[in-house]
Amino acid sequence: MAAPTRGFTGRPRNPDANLPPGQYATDGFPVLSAGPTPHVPLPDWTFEIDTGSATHQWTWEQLQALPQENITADIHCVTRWSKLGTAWRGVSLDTLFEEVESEAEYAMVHSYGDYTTNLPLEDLLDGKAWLVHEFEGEALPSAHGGPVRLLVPHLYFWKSAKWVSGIRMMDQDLPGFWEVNGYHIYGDPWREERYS
Amino acid sequence: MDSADQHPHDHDHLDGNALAGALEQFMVDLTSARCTCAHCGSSSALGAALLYTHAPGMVLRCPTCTSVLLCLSDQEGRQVLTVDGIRQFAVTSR
Ligand SMILES: [Zn+2]
Repeated sequence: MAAPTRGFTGRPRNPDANLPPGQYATDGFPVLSAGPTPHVPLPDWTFEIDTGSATHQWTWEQLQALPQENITADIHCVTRWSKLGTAWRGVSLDTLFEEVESEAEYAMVHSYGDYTTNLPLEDLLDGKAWLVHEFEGEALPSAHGGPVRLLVPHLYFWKSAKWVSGIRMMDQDLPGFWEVNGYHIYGDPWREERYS
Repeated sequence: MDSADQHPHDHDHLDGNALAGALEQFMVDLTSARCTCAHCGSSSALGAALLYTHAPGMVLRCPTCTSVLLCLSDQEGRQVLTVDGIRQFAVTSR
């Protein structure tokens, strides 16, 4: 005997409307890393935006002196886990880019170690991206990208580079580490842009 | 020189299918192969390199300089292997 159908349309609905297609929610926070964890002492930490014609640099102290924001965001990893309602604290990229003049439309994000990831500049601006240094009220652990990582929650989480060290502006959208290795050049989880 | 002169002619090369027999030498467990890092030039058994698996793909790094040797990703229906960190593979002749 056939099992009774539950719905009227027969179309399975994601139980949580906050989950993009193909994702499941987890309470854990898996540690993903493509290499050794760099340990950067705070006095040595800097973040640099390089436009090609000028570089803008911030030390840890200078970053702390900028306006700080609390961010609550859902994050979505291309390996299919999502973590809803994560809490972060850090500085909006809008604040850092206030003093940056550049015509370039793309950005390559660099990390301590050798990680890179590419994004259109517009995905870093207008309240969509932050440099974060606290997670759930505590200093960001190095396993999760501390002292400072990028947070770009509207894209798959590989775009939220751990151990971030700087941004190099680019005229073309060149691929970063995972993008070279067959992952999507943009990575919108709602469009399931996992692979190139 | 006319640019047409630079086009390969049928008589001076074979197509890549002719490599099939020679490449069978590499149809072995490649973890025993020696590979030369494109970054630092050091050579080691692939099996002695550093493998990072908690990532979207598996990342193999040079045991000498930690540069990426290769990246292998299982992307739902295709396997993507990037090897631009390896300058050379060497296996024992069979
Ligand atoms: Zn090396």
